[in-house]
This record gives sequence, structure tokens and C-alpha cells, in this order.
Amino acid sequence: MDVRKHSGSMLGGEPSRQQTQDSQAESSSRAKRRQIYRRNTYSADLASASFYRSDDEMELEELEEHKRRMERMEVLKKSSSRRMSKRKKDKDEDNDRVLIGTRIGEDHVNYVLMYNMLTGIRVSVSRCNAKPQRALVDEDFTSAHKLAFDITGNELTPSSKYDFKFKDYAPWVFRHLREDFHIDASDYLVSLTSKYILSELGSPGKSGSFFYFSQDYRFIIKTIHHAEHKFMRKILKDYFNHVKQNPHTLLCRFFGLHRVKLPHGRKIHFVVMGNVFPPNRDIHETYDLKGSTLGRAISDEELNNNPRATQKDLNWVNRNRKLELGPERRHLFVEQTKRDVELLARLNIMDYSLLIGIHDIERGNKDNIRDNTLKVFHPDTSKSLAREPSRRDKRESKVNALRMAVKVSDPVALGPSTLPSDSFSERRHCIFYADDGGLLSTNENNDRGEDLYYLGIIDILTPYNYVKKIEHYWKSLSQDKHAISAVNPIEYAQRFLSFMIHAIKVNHDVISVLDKNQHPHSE
Amino acid sequence: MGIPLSKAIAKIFGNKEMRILMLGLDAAGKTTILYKLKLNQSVTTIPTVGFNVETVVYKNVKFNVWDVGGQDKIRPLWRHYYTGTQGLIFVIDSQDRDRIDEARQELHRIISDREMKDCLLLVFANKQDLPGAMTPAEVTEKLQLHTMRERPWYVHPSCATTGEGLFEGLNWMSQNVKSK
Repeated sequence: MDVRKHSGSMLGGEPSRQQTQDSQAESSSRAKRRQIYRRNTYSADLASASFYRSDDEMELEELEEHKRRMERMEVLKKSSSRRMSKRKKDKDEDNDRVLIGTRIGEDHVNYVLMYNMLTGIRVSVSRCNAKPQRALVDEDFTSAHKLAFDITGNELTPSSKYDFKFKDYAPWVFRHLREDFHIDASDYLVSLTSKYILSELGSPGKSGSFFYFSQDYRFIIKTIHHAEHKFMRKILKDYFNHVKQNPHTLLCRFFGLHRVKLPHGRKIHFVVMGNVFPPNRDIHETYDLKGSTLGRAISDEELNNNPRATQKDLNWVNRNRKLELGPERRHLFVEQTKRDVELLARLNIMDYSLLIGIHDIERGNKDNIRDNTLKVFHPDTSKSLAREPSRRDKRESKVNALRMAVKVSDPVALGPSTLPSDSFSERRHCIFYADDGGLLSTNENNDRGEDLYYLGIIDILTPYNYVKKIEHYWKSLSQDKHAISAVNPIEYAQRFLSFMIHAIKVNHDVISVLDKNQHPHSE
Repeated sequence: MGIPLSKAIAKIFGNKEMRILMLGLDAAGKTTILYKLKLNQSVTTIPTVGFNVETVVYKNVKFNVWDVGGQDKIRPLWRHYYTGTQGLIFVIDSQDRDRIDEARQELHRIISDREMKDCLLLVFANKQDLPGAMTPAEVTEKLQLHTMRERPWYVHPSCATTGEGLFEGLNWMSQNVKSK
């Protein structure tokens, strides 16, 4: 008995060594110096970093690529009688090379950054998850572990191709969060870090953040500003408690908070989040709704150029779009949204959005949007050829996908996508993601409708600080101060909830939530 | 500054450092071996998702031992630990005859990797205390180790819970490692 107890603590209590390193490293003079550097060095670093790539590595990749191609040729020869499938496969091979959305292969300017992010995640998550689970203590919310990577590796880190420093924040809290969100630890590691290929979503958004998708479209890595990072650590405990009490929360799901630093480079903070959108269904329309109406529209021209561009509040109103939710579902949705925005208001957060993705079931996947329009995915064929059990699964699903695509008679058929053909298992556990990863529209009898909704409250790391206050006063000089997006968090939450309730087609029985919720305006 | 100095001392006194990677199918006893070596205790373990790493000093050699989880799903992650490995400890559950073939495949996949071409191979035929356990000779044959001509390899019987055979294995490692 005694022995077990002792050894248990040996297994679990080891990170103290790292912690002490941490606080020392944060000496203020160094931080200051870095701050000066920070602004100028970023792009230069990334550019020069891509030169570090060793020739050996390229050779290996080429070899692998060659082997892969040869093996695929074999497969093709065998099935040459089936012309249809052959053509499909050839197309797949083209997709390997010509990707519109940016696949981050070794030649990408952000490859080194991405390699370091993924290596850091793998090592830090692997360290934490190998230990027996334990209850959280207060220090877990503020803890941070620092790891230094280099080519030789050391007693704590395996060898890495590049030198970099990595910091893992509140690892135990995020381990608990992942478990609360039913993310299997091995799934997390494998889908995010087993291969160094992610895809980058177009250009950085308005916030200047970069987005990277895991290969299976399951996880998103988003770079965040230092201010957002600090804010996230501040609210982590409240967020954690909210998730505990609200397993069906619509709030953005955070699975990790980290930082990388390249030699002489600036610190790059990032979070790992769950993707609201599914891997297995085309999203036909996307909306980003804030409840603010001023300037919240994209032009018709923009929409004509890209029918799947993310639309905003005014587009939603003008197109007279409504969420079709029957009594049961709208009550659940409104209640959960209310609870979620109450938390955000309490934490002084504003500027968040409800992300809505709409999948038209009748239209199904026949447009093949995810493969043909996005093309951001690198088909992961080498892995499926290397390992037998998974290979069988992959092949089979691929064959099935092809068969379905050929048939086309079934409108919900899968495209010849290399993405997973099912929604991920963790989503079953949340009522809003339980219908094949989304929320099925229903009529007044609670019978199923024609749309699948994918909903989530995103961008929840903006506090109502002086920048936003200035924006508020500046804009309110010339415009309606209640319609602009920068308003105080209580008003923001109220307006947000009200907009969402009015976005539901039939809402007479949920609209009362707004009255109960009435707060005096602060202005 | 401290590192070169300690390296210098190590050179004078003949201390060696060795980076060891310990792999094998799930439930072979890798984590139990690691903590038996480290703490000389038989600890209660959980299936390792991720890795444990410990430094064990034995006969003036500092072994930096990486124990990486062996479940089917996470085996694709093994390769990320290959670089810089001087010795591979491959752990076999000697009683698990059903999966010895799977173990052979995994082993051959590992050592055919470029990064592993110079590393020593130590196989622990573990769980020798269990009835019907395969003998080291049997394990050698089933793993087709005789086909490996270039590489130094060694199969040793072990019992992780009592610690029998573990240090003999490390001893072989330390005697065969090329001194740098």
C-alpha cells in the first residue's frame, strides 16, 4: 500500500523542476529586450527558417513520395478495368501537388513554425498524458512548463530538426478539458501531430491570426496575440468551471494553450481548438453573427464571386434566413446561448460571434465543396499504406466513397473525399453536435427538417478594454451607438441573445427569456 | 558553461551517456521496466498514452530511457523518437503468442528506418514468471533476429516486476555501445 502511494507521487509530481526554470526565465529585462525585437524579426525569421531544412530530409520525403506513387501505380494497374475509379485516383494524385488553399508541406514558408508547434504539442501532451490522471489544484491553472528543443535532444525532449523553445500552459487543466469534451488522448496526438502536414486557411483574418487545420479537419490551431493569451490565462478557471457545469456549451472548445519561440525570433502564442465544422459534410452557407447591424454585411459582388463566403448579420436579415428549430430544440438552444453569454458578459468579453454553418441535406455533398473548392487537404495516403489495420479501414472507406460518388443517386453520398467519412465520436456527447456532428433542423412537431446546422460561439478572447472603448466612443459620434459592434459587454450579450432569438423562425415561446434577462443599460 | 565541463569530467572518468528508446506492443511491460530500473519498485502503471522518460545510472553509464506508449493507434508516433537513439529496447510479452507476429512486424518496421540504422537492439523476453512463457530462443526465432547480420542484437529473459534480467540487459548495452 505504502509503496504504491510513494511511487504514485513519483510518477505524478515530477514537473516541479521545470516550473522553477520558468519563473527565472521570465526576468523582466530580457522580456523588455525581446519586445523591442519582436516587431521587426517575425517575417525575416520565418523566411530564413525555411533554409534550415536539411537535404537529407528532402531526399527522404522524395523517396517516400516515390514509393507512395509506385504503390499507387500498382493499385491502379490492378483496377484498370474500372475506369471510373482510375480517373478519380489520378485526380487525387493531382491534388497532391496542386493545392489551392495552402498545404503546409516542407516548402512552405511557415513549415518550420508549424513543425515546432506540432513537435511541442506532441511532447508536452505526451508527457502529461502518460501520468495517471489526478484532480486539479489551484496551481494547475497558472502553471507553465518550458521545454527547449534542439537537434541532439536532452533528458526531457527528443531530438528536433530545429532549435526552438516551447512553453506549455496549464497542461493539467487542458488535459481535463479534453477529457470533459470527450477527446481521446491518442486521437488528439495522432490527428494533430503524427504527420507534419497541416493546411493554412487563406490569409490571416482581420485579427492578424493564422489558422491551421489538422489533416482530418478536426482541430484548429490559431495564433493569438499576447494580450489575448494573457486574457485567456486570466479567464481559464472561469471557462473551465463553466464547461464543467455546461457540458453542452456552445462556446469555442479550447484544448491547449502554448507558445513557441524560434531562436532570435519573437514569441508566438497559439491555441488548439475544436473545429465547429464537420469533415464529412459540405457547408453550403456560412454566417458569422454578432447581433450588431452596422456595417455587418458583405457585398453582393463578393457573394457572387464566392457563394460560400462568410456572410454577416445584415446578409442574414436581408435574405430573411431563419433557424428552423422546433419547440424542443429552440428551448435548448436559447437556454444554452443565454448561459454562455452570461458568462462572457461577466468576464467582460465582447465582440464574439455565433458561427453558423448550414448543410442542405437534399443537396448533400454532391457539389464536393470540401474537395473541389477548398482543396486545403493533403490526402494522407502514405500512412494508410504503411499500417495494415488502418489501411484496411481507409481503403474500404475510400472504395465506399467512390462507389457512392459513382452512384450519385443518393444525394447524401460522400464525395471521394480523403477526409473522414463520419463525424468525430466526441461530438455525440453534446446535444448541439449529436446529429452527425451538427444540429438537425426540426419543425413545430419536433420532426426532422432539411438542414443541418453547425453552431458555435467563437472569438471569445476580446475583453472590453480601452481600445474597444475608444472604438465605441469614436463610432458612436457618427453612428447609432447601440448598433455598432463595440459596445459594453452587458449590452453586447443582450443584443447578441436577442438577435439569436429573433433568428429563430418561430420564437414566441422563447422570447420571454429576454424580459427576464433585462439589465439596465449602462449608458 | 556547465555542460562542457561535465562532459570533460565524464571523459576523464569514463562516464558514458546513452540514449535508449524502449518500444514494444501495448501491455508488454515497458513502463514497469522503466520504473523498476529507476526506483527499484514495482509500480502500478496505466496504459501509456505518450511517454515516460527517466535517467538511470548503472556502472558509470547514464541511460536516458524513453518509454513510449505502444497502443496500436499511437504507434505512428514512434518514429518521432528515433533520431539520436543509440539503443533500442524492444519489450516482448513472452506469454502473448498470439501477437508475437505483430511484434515482429513492428520491430522490423522500426529498425528498417534510416534513423535507427546504427542503434543496438536489446530484446527483453519479458514476463518470464508467467506459465507458458516463450523462451529467449523461441522469441529469437519468432522475431527472425537471425536475419539481422549487420546489427548487434541480444535477447535476454526478464521479469519486470521482480527486476530479474533488467540490469544484465543494460550491461550488454553499455558494453556494446560505440564510445564517441
